[in-house]
Amino acid sequence: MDTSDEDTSLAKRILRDLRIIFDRETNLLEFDIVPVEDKTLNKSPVIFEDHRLGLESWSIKYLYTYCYHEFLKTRSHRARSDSATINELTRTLLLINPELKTAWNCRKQLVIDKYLTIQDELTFCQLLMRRRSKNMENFTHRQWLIQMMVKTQGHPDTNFINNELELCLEAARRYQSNYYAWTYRRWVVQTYAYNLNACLHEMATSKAWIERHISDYSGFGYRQYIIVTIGSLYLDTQDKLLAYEDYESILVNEMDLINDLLRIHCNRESLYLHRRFVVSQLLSIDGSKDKELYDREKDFIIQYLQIGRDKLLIERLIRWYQRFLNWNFT
Amino acid sequence: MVKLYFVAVIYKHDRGSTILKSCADLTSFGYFQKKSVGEFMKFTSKMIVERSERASRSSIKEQEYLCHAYVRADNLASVIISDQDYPNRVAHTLLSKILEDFSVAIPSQRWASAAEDSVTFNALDIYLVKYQNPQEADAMTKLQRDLDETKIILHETISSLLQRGEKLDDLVAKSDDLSAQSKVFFKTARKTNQCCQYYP
Repeated sequence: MDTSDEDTSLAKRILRDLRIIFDRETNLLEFDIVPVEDKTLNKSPVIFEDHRLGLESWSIKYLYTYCYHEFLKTRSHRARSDSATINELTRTLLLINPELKTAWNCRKQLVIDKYLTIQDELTFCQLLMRRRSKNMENFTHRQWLIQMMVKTQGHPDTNFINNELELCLEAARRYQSNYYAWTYRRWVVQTYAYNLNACLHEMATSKAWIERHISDYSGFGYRQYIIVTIGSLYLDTQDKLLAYEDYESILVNEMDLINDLLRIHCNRESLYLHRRFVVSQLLSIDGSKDKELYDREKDFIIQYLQIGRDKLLIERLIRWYQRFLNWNFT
Repeated sequence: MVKLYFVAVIYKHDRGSTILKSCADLTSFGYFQKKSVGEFMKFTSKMIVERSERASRSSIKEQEYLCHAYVRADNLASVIISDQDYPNRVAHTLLSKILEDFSVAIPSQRWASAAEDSVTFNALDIYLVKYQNPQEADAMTKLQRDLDETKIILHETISSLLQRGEKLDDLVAKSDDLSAQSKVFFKTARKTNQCCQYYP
């Protein structure tokens, strides 16, 4: 046998080992590539422990090359390959490289053909997300699956939505400033939970989150989206004056939260950017509060300058106020 | 994330150091990485103590982690490994508090002779859980006043702690504290310049 034949049979054996695990195990918790420099003779690179699947890193190049070529072959043939092969190849390719869009799209076809159930595919996405949490293709695929599900089964229930929201938090926890995860969360709220109760609940969840992830501005960005949404929901459901009043109290509470966090954490730009957002929102509902707000911000700045805290950020804040709100602190 | 990963009480010998008690919260790491990450935290904290002067405080940045160390004049040291969001001031106050409590709980004649990671000091596990939330620090205001932040030595990387001619890669290769698996792990992470993430 020459080398390439050997490589092929090695790849086939690994695929078989993986197939056995995927067929038997319905509750895979994790997949990861485990760095191992050299292969041990006659030992399979597939590790399976406690519902977790690992692949020794030396085997990746053989497995991936084989699967990729086989996959391209199935694409180029006019005659369709059988679904089982496509499922297996795309599954393996995506485990290693979840950025491969063509593979994701082939899986969509398998779902349309009802070879894969939507629920199983959602579980598979979640498994991949644990290893690569910032992966747009995965979130887009998920979005597509849910839209498919809604088409056939109707509006998802609260349990399902909560599950999706929790999944976003997990992805955001695993990868800092995970904008894709927060965008997905925004989509879930906008599409399936666009009401005051849900948004107020989101305020509480996101508060706990930013307290623990103080420099993650993607999380703050999401919070700002929720705040603005609550503002417009108030306007939709209440009398204008009352709506403004309620919105203002949300913003005032937000300012208190920022001040509390500033006391604990030094030099966090995210807090200052969030502060700018709150101040501009407050001004947008009631321009006549300009003087009052100005005085409050002036007191804050003077206090921080006196104790010499967050010097650079305070200077930037002063410049921003000067430029965009025409406030002078001299 | 505002997160404490690891705390340890370490004894600094003239050559080398011994971990008296350590505990770690590695829930945020993957299943296959946990063991190596744990070993590295121990390895790193011992290395920092060995290379720090007596009666000194330091904070060392390494990728997305921060290591804080406090070595007392009586050779007792404490180390915290946190992420970059965890407030420095709180970490250093906690370091002092840990050593104060440890000195009270464990008689000093046992420190030098204790075997690696063998001392029972459950307060440390409790601290690791409790101080995940830095707001707990409010209870320590008295200590905070004693802490002079300007005396903390700051290092931009672990490598800047090393003596001339020393290399981190060599130290890792020579270490007895690290398993073969962890050494490969380290090499891979170095190559991709990514901690605990592997890109094929």
